Amino acid sequence: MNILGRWSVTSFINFIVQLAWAGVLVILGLQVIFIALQFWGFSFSPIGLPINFEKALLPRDLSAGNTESLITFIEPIRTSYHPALIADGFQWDFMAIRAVQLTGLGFLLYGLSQLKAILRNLMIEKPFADDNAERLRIIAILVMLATPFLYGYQWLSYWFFTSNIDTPQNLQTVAPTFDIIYIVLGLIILVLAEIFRQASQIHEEQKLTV
Amino acid sequence: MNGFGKNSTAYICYVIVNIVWYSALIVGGVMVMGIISMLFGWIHYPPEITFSIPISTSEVAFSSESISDFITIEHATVDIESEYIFNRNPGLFIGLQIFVVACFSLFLFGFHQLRMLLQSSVYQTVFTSENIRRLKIMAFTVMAIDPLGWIYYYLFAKNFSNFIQQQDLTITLGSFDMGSIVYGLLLYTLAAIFGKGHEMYQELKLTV
Repeated sequence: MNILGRWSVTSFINFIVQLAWAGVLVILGLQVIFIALQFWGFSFSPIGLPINFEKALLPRDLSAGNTESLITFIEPIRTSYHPALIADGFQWDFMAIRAVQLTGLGFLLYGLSQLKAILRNLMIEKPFADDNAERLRIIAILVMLATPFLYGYQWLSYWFFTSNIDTPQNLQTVAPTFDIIYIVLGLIILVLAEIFRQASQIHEEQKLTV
Repeated sequence: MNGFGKNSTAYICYVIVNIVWYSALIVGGVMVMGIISMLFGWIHYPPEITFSIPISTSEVAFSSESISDFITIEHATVDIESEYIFNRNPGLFIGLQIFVVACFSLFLFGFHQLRMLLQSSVYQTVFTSENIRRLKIMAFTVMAIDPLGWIYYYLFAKNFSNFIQQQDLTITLGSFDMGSIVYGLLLYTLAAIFGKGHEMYQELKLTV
């Protein structure tokens, strides 16, 4: 099984990334169209907003202290909702959410484009091409920016939901939490970018030596 | 190609990964001691020790129908107290504990490879045969994450089926997410790139 080159593991990963890139492009296009249509009173959003709930009631309450059943919900229940279904007409806060979604999709598309370019270089067996290090650095920065962006996006969704919906008393929303995993991942990719940069220099020196 | 040194991003990553690794090591040690103590009856099962399993989202419903109109439940996880499982199926309980400890050990082993890789990037040369081997081990460890999760949920679904049926619940095998397999393949590709870098570095040393 080849790792680099055509018809290899790299080409399989490239195929998946291409698919993801095309999907994000379609969703981005739809989002732009629906933003334009909103000015004519047509409200629809292809992307649901995230909201977590602390407790939900099953048709039969399983966690009511019954000794026969010791099942409880401890983790928040992840749900999504479509703001267009609760927003009445044109609302600036709804437009702000759409703008944030558009920004996020744009960043995602840009990051996937960089990754596609790197994979293309790997498929033609040029792992130490000059631009690979720069592209990896861009991906690292985008990944690190994902943490505050996602946190802000989840808070925006939480604020929009709690402002527009009266939830029953036994149903509590859970505030978003800050997750640093993407920052650590971004730092590791930054280290990889530096390794690729130095390897690219060695590659140049080797070519000149030969 | 020398190491990056202490004034580098690699060193910051190395410190963070070191902290996480030692913390995980302490947690693992406490977990093993706790399991042995519980099995011998030296300590009682604290209610906080639970096993999590994903359930079908159709089992979860909001009491208020007006909210259900525009909210889609994406993921729901229930926790089952370990003492309850031990009282009803001790064999399954012991098997699950061994399985969890084995998976945690695998995670520690893979994380140790990352730690060693970052250490060599800070203090030594990066393109070495040891680093290539470490990347391949990390790749296989990452690829195993999702399949191990499926095995864990399947053990629950198969051995706990009577209880689950009594409660009218449906356990899912989690989502069919191939993300870990793709990330593992990416790491394997990185190992191949490191292999090329190693060859190039050896040739350059011979030429010089």
